[in-house]
Amino acid sequence: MVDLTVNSRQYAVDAEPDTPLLFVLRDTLGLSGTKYGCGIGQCGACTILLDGQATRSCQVPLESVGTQAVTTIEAIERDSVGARVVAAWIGSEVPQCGYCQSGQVMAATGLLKNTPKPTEDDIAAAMTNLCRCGTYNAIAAAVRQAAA
Amino acid sequence: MNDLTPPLPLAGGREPIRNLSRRGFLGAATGALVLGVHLGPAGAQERAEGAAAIAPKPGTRVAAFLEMRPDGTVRLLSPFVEGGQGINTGLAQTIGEEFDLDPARFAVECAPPGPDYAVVNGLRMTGGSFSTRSSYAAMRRLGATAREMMLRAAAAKLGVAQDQLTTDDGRVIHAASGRSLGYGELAAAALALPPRDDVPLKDPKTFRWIGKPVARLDMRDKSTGRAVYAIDITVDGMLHAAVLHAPHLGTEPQAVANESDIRAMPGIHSVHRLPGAVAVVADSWWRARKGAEALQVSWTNPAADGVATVSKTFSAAAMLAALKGSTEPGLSAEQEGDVAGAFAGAAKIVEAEYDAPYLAHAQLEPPSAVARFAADGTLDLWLPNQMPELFQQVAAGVAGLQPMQVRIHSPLLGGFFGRHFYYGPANPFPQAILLAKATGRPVRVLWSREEEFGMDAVRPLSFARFRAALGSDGMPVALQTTAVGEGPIGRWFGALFKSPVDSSVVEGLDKKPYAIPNRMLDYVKVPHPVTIASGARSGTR
Repeated sequence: MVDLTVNSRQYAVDAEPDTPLLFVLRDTLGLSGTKYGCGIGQCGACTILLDGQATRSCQVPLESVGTQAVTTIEAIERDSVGARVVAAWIGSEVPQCGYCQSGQVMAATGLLKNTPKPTEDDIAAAMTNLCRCGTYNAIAAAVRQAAA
Repeated sequence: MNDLTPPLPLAGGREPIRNLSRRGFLGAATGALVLGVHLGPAGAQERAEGAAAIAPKPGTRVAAFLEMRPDGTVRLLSPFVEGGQGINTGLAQTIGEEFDLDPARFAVECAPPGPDYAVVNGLRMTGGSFSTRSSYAAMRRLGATAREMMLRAAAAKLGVAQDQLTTDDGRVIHAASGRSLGYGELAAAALALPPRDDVPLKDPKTFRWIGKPVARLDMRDKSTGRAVYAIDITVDGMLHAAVLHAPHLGTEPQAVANESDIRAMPGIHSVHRLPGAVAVVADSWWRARKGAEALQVSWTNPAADGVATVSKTFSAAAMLAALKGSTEPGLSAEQEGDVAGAFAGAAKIVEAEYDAPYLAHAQLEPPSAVARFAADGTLDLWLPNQMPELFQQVAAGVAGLQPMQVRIHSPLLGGFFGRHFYYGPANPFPQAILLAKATGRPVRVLWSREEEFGMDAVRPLSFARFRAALGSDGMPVALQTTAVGEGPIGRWFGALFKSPVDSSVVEGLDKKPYAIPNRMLDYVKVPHPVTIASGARSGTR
């Protein structure tokens, strides 16, 4: 059993220590808002916050989480920055198919928690998640709106 | 437009829409297979829905589309599947306009298979950027018909003449007496009425929502992780399967050297041999995947060489060389004027060759399917798809059932771009059906990103040779084009379309608007050994 704190709730998880946090969230805890896209840390669909830092959960073995607080998209509106990001996402009508957007919202929230007034370069550097529909311009606009 | 495309239903005597070929053609071609479904031996759908449902005119039976809820919202069963193109909102706009209900009050789901939803030229599919264009007239009429039924039901209930009633955003209003009734209160009585087929449509000048910006319905769910895709579906007692496919398409598993080791890994339920693959079933997908990655499988041998199959030496470069080297005589796809004569008298001849690579769809949601057999032997199947009736038919064949015994559930698509038509071995759902049968449990098959890139049906590598004859003024007098290869229409629908010219290979090369008097377009068929597909990718189809 591995102890885990997700969205301020304690869990004892029965899974191998090397299981990626992504699949613990999705399949063990039923938090399917976090998405599997590539499994190798490239697409960012699985982005979560680990102690407030945007992190690709497919690259986080369960055993490495320890006491760090895991925040997923399911709880993002409980965070004041996250709530602003979601509002901007809805206001800018960012999503198309939407599959990458949980990760995009988490990445944007991570950015704005650490850099409340990001420059264009900050946005470009932080928002590296893939969107096959091509919503990148809308994403950047929503990040600017959430930061304003 | 391709000559296989049926005439489009056009409202208001507008000119036929030209230049639909790239997108519209696909709709027509794939739709025809649905026609095949309806003409199939069982006639199951008709029997399943009772005598009253025999040959309903698609898009007219209000109860098949709209379910009024007590809170004044409406559940719309859509003929189309939402995958980011916004069709759920578009339908709410179109129907809501005539029904007189704010689009924001619609909850839209993809409808199950059924003849009511065959609104794309009498057929059903989502694709080709064609959903709104093909269904607009029918969906407006559906909304207007439903509104008239509300008015008629309200007139009876209030004991007033129907022409004294108006509607406003989900309510029928009797201004003279100040009384009003919500659609929800009227729904049961209204839906029992026979629909009229002569209800007038609104004057477009009075539109509130069509042609106006309307907030898309799915923004909050898609911004907060609540949107549900096929990969998110779970059912009680479900097992997870990961799959290892043959390294060469067409080869089969012979033996698994370490099956007992795999079965001893944590959480592993069983190991299964599938057509062209081995599956590991476990209590979680990660455990199944660890098992699949540890499999030591011996496979039958691929051919040593050549491009007739995915041989040991097959590569895209080898395939392109085969296309370039083809000496087969072409089939004439287009011929006008005297091409040979124009070339003989040309002041200058320009030649060029073009090729385009194999391309994967690369939709971000890896493909999955959940299969669950009910106690009575019928099958529920949750899967990403752009053609529910076609998948129902194929799934029934795999499961050994009649189509009416297969319930197709079509969740949101995490991108599609043409990925979710039926492409034989590029679809995981047959594996889910076989594994659910073998284990006696519901099974979700999920392909890893690596397996998806290995198994996706690719846009075919293509090659074309151009020769142009220029006159002394430098203007072209003749154009000779040869397209070599194979396209998805010929591959998947060739049996239905008798034309020997594969329209999906020559489309875009044919029917050019240029004023070149002498033209010749030939098609040379060279089959690809890989699974090929339609797909929308920037600048190419």
